[in-house]
Amino acid sequence: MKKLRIALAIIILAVSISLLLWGYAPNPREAIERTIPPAEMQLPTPSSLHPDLEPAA
Amino acid sequence: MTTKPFSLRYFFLPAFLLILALAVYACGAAMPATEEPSAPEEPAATEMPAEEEPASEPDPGDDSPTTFPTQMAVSPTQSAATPQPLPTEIPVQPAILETRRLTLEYPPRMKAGVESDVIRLTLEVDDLGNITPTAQFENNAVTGEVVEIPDLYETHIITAEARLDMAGMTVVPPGVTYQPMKRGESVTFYWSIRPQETGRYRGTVWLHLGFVDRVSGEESRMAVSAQIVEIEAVDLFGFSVSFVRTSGVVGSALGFIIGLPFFDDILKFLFRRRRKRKASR
Repeated sequence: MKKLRIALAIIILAVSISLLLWGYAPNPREAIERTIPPAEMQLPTPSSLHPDLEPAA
Repeated sequence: MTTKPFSLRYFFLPAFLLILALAVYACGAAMPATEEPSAPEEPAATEMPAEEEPASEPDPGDDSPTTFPTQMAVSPTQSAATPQPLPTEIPVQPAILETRRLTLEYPPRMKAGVESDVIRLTLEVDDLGNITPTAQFENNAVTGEVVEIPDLYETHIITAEARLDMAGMTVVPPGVTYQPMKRGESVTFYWSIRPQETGRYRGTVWLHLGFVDRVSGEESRMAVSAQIVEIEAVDLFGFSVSFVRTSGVVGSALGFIIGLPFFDDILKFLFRRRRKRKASR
């Protein structure tokens, strides 16, 4: 009886601690880095607003 | 002595050769005139200056010579309009003379329900990649000429505008967030997000730069970046986060209570061992 009680306590504790760990674990973070050269931060020019269209044939 | 009768062959042959020579000359003279922009509209006028160019005497009584001066005047003005130093005198637009690094930090997976997290967008100055153009290339050779690009910070008020579009998720603050951008200073945007239900959420983080001319007040705006963010909101086998946390706390207390005899045995074992050590001394 005593061994059964101890086993039950261990199982309950293990499950409960697992739930606590999952519940309070911080979220994984992901970082995306990108370099922006000065050319991409210039004033918009009229030519930059037009796409370079090429003839179909 | 017999005289040959007059034959038309002696007349037609030189006439044919003369016409042929004139036609070849006319076709050859018309070729360069087709390069002019007005050649398709006035084919007769383009041919005439080529023939009359050596004479260079416009006839005031005729109608067609009125086109001569215009044709003659166009080519000198075109040649004068393209002087040699023109390629080096391209007006340089003001620019931001620093390379920046854009960092987007977000949680790819988070718990649905009560949990909230932060998305951070930082536009910081890249100290290593600061590029300032100082030389100009001409015919694959460095001329050594210093190019002075006006600083955009001095001519314009620059504002960084950021927006997070994500359907189905609570985003605070909603809409566009503005921050002034100054030379050498980083700009950081924060959004607090909270998914109400489980699932995959896709959104876009927009970054625009707004320019306001300090003199004229003219405003312009350009998109710098649009990054797609995908966040997965999860739960634990259908149980909410708050339920899981509560279950963990309650279960830990219950397990401790049930296992008290086990802890009691451990304590008794430790005390016995300590007494034995004292007794042996």
